[in-house]
Amino acid sequence: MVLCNAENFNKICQSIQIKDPKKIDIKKIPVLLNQTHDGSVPGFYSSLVGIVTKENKQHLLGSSPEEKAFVRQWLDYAVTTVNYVDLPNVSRQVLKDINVTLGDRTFLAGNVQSLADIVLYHLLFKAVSNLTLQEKEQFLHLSRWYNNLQQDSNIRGSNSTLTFSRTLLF
Amino acid sequence: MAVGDFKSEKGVKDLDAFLAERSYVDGFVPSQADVFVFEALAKAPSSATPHALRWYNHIKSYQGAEKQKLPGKKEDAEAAKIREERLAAYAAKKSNKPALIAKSSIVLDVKPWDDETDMKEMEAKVRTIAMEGLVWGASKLVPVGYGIMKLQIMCVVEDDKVSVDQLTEEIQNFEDFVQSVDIAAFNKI
Repeated sequence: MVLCNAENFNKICQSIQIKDPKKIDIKKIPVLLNQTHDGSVPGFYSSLVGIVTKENKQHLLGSSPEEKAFVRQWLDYAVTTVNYVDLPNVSRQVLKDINVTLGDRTFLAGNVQSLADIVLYHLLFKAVSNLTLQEKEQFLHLSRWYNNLQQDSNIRGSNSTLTFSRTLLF
Repeated sequence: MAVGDFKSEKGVKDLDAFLAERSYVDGFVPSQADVFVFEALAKAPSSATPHALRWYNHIKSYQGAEKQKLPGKKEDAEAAKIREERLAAYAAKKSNKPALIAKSSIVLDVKPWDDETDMKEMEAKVRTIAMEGLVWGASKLVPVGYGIMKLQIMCVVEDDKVSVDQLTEEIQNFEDFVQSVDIAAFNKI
């Protein structure tokens, strides 16, 4: 199983809030019709960037050159690594890496919420919901970021709200 | 979150602990609460408080005008003025209240010079002592033994105006009558 699949692609598109769903018929995007045997969507990343640009939501791709680079890097990372996060050993490493990154920034690309945050929110949903409270506490920065993202009902979409509670006693 | 003194090291530490699991001071989007705390900080948090530093850098990324536009109630000039007036009225009311005067009730034991001392006259002499803030009260004669009596006299003094040492000294100045003066009881009222 991979995570950059048609289901997540749809969820992300909903989170981006495409104004006129008819104009972009997700089901008719050619790449989605070419799913490989394992369910991955070739061109996952470039299709998303294309949709965002078409919808005039370029702010989701970052405004400064630095932010733009970050967003693209994270999208790359999503396709190449987070894609396999349903494998336990990958999951651990990915969560760890993201947690470290979020230690000194509010969002993945720095100070603005971007497409990278939305994409990773959806790709990581299973992995994060499988964490115990104690593990969530270990990934403190990740939990903070994830909890912040899931408060936006547009981003959350049909996903349920995960519980993050931090007690000082275990 | 209890608002502490963000200028102090402890305040920044508390803020750090608070922000460990939160992206913003209040809610899930930047608001005036963030701006308020940001401005209350004396300087950028050090790397010893990483969560506060992360938040600080994030809020710093909003330029001046953007900061003002963040949602949340910003106390306007009108509200500030009304609050100032109320504070002033309260201060005035407080200062009009009479200050509490500290007083003490004292019982003095005055022992006569010898068995032939005229107790009546001794008492009259003691009562002649007049000081500001000193009021003499009831008195009685208490037998000490062998027919000798001592004078027990009450008085109320204002602590700020009357020194008890000075009072006993003045009584002892009637050397012909008084041998010694002791304080039998001393109560604050």
